[in-house]
Amino acid sequence: MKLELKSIDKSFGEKKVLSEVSLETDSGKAFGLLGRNGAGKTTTIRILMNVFPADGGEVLIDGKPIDYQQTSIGYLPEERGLYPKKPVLEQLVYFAALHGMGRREAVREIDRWLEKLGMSEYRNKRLDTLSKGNQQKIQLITALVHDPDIVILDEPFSGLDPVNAQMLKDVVREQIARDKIVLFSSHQMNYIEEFCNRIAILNQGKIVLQGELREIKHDYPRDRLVLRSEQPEALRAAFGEACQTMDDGALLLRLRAPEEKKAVMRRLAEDFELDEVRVFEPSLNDIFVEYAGDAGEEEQA
Amino acid sequence: MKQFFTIFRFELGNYLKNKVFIGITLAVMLILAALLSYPRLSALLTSEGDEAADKQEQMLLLAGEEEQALLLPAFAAAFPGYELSAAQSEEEIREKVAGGEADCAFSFDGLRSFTYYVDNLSMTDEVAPTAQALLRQLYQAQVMLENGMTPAQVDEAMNAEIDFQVETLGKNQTLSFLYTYLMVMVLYMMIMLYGVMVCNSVASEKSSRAMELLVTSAKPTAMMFGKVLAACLAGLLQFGLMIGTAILAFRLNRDYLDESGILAAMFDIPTGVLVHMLVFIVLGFLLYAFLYGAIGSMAMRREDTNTTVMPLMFLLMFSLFTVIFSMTSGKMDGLLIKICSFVPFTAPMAMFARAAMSTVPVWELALSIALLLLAMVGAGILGAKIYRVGVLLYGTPPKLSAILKALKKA
Repeated sequence: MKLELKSIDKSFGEKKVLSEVSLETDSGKAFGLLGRNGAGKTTTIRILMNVFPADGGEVLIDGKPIDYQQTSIGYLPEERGLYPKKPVLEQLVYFAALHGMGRREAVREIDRWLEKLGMSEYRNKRLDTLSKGNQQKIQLITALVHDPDIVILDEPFSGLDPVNAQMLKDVVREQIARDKIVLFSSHQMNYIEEFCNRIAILNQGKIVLQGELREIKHDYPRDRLVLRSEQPEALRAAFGEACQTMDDGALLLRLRAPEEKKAVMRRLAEDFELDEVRVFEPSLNDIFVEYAGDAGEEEQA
Repeated sequence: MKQFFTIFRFELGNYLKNKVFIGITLAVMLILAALLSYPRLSALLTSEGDEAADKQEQMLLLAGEEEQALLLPAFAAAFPGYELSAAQSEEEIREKVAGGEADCAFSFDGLRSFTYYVDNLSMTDEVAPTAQALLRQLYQAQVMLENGMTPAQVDEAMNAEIDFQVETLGKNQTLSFLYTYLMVMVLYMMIMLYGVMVCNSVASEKSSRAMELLVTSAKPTAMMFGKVLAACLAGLLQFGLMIGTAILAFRLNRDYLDESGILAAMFDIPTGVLVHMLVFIVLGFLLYAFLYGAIGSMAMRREDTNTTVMPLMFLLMFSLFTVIFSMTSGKMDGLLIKICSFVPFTAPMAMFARAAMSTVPVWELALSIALLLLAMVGAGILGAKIYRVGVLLYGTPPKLSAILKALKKA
């Protein structure tokens, strides 16, 4: 199954929130939708989920306009929240029923999920008696219980301790292995790097970068070298502005052009005492900061 | 449609499983049943046990010897519920009445002037006016005797029977007043209480952020209609059970209840009135509840609704007071209430009261219901639109102009 968003436009009043947003991803893959607060991630997700219509553009499944009766979507919202005063089982059944599940089937699936996440003992407890991490797990069940074709996880790892984060990772891996379309939206780049094959970066309502994560990294201009040396002062003196100290103490040397690489490396090896020389490969974090970091931001959830 | 029923069931369950809801409903039903069955039960107990002597109220009379002889039998006949005795002095009267030994007392100065003593003067105390009328009669009789009429003639003149009948061509307002009042209160309370509950339930879904998930799982229209109709049914159930219990208990105990007819006037409700009541309560509630729901959807937190529901509250209170003033003044065909009975926001109470207490032409009733129905549908459509926009709003409460703009687009 292939999910495409084609040239989605959306304005709220005078404010243009999305312009020409196009995405595509396949089942069995995880897609990372990145962007700062107010970049338009939630709006994109809401249009995908048919909460409100786009002003222009279309959402396609395998090339045809999406039919929400056929394609089910599971959603873990960034702003978590259920009914605090209601027992766990009752509200899970309610949300499952809203997705069209029968009661008996819903209870069976919910019990399976509770068991799987080690939450069976909380089945009949009121939600507000649960710890925050456990409430998150209940919320996760609402997103997955109806076995949706598309799973949308908005900041899924925020607020989870390492053990619960590991549990969530396993669940996400399982969804990917079961050929679901998984859509991540997050600021936590390490998780995106861990799961996502494709990413798109939204900035002020526009896609500024999209593609396979591996290719993006590979295509990134290879014009920087990472140097580790016993005598960083000498290096800095020799290269001046182009040479900067990184957080971990290594030096980052920016070349004038990628073609210089060989010549510079040779010169470095001859003139300096070096422990390490390698081509700098950016992390997703670096890429994100570069593409999403410049423009001023406005709060718009 | 399936989603609507899912939501409707869930919301209805919220009411019916609520312990406070169950508790209040049962408690009120029990109290009503107990109150209305009390005379029968106590009659049962007293007839079996000792004949408990009716406690008579004590009345003291202070007058000259001559007047005393005249007044005692006359007062005894006029106040059958009182035990009369002569007092010796004003001090004795004050002491006994204030101390509770006597319930009331009279001190006479001749036959044309008296002082009435009572501890707490109740609003409905009829003793003094009765005594006044009695004295007037005594005085008149005395004058007649002095002017040469025979006692038989005097007796004939003073006690002439006047025969009269009342033929009610429209409706008897003395009979319909109390149950109309009761029903108008029920209308008011149901719209107010359940309307606010709808509003708060939407607002708390927003503040708990359950809304984030709900809007992606269900259509806002299904959400709003499910909520409002569930509240409507829950309210009808609650008030229906309460009133039903009262009517049933009244009918079962009718023979043992009251000579005064107050209870009959309250609970002996004609079926036609009940049908009107049902129509107006459902339409009126839905009209208001759709708007309450819309207001709830615009709120950011639950506290926000406290002030935003005020315009609706004032509308409701305005119609309640208009209706009650018209009812108590007996002018059910006044201009104000006539206008109110066609304006959809005031019509549920105003037209219901008019129909229950006076004769309203069928076309007026039909027109009022049609207008109300129209307004209700309009409120439903408008409410759903506001709701769709409102539930997605977070942050600062929007300005009215922004809402209107958003509505135009929705």
